Amino acid sequence: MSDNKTLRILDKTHFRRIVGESHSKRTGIRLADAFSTQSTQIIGDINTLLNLDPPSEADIRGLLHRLQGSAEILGASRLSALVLHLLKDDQDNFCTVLRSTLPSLVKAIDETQAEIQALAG
Amino acid sequence: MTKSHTPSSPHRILVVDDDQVQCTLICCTLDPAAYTITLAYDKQQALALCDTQYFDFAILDYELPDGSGADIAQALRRTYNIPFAFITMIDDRQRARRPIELGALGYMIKPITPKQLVIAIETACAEIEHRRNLKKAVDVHGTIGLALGIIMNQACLSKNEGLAQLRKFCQPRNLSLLFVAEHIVAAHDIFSHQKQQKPFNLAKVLEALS
Repeated sequence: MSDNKTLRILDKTHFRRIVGESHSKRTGIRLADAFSTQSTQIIGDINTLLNLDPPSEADIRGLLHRLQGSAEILGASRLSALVLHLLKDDQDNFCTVLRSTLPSLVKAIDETQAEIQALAG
Repeated sequence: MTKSHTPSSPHRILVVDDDQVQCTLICCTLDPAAYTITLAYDKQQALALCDTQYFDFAILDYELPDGSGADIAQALRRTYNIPFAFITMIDDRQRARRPIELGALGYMIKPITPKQLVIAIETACAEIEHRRNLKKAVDVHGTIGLALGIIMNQACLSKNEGLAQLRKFCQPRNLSLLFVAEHIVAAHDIFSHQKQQKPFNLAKVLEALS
């Protein structure tokens, strides 16, 4: 897990490229907004699902896959690696590992959000 | 039975993906002058939209919160007659076989860059246009063939004689073969369905067109 911290928060070249190749001048801002809305919603839903008895692991994995997809699109390398690591965890430990990793996940999302907004703005 | 709609321009595209970032990128990538995009975040929403709106093309994610993109693809093909392509994170060849079997016009693996997306969509739209033109050509051919059959039957002519007769009628009046053929077939249909007492009279149909 510590390896993830050596990864870049955002691959700025990739992000600039997707924004540059798009048609709209507001792509950066719109992507930042979409990422912010979606990640807030996903973290909220994960918290709710983790509090169920038993926690709904399949649904949580579905949400993490979506988060990982968004991270890949944006070039959010650190977030993407962190989520991939979580998804690889075995069945028994998944929810325990996720609970303990949730603060790092939220931090990676916030850092990504800040970098995207800095580039988009 | 498939639902039929009139093709439109710009291309109307339905995007079905639960990832808002992907949806935003697609919306920002495609030129609004060439494409009108409608978003659906799950299967239920997508099918409800297809019930009320016409789409030229659909881009589907494979895994959705309430089902699979394959289920939507099946409905698009059987009920709505809408061509589709997939954009998905699944890069497993075995699992990619299903969308191909369902008749997908493309299979793109995420993350996809705007340039790749535009090329893929333009290729798919060109293929759709090609299929439409092909269908139109088959329909035209079929209508003229039907009219020719009616002429041959009515006037006891061979195929070549019937076609010559049809051309002879069209040319001086500056009418297209298809236009006259459509009238002959339509008139014949009315006579056949209404079971008229009087027999179908080709000369009268042509006279009405003169």
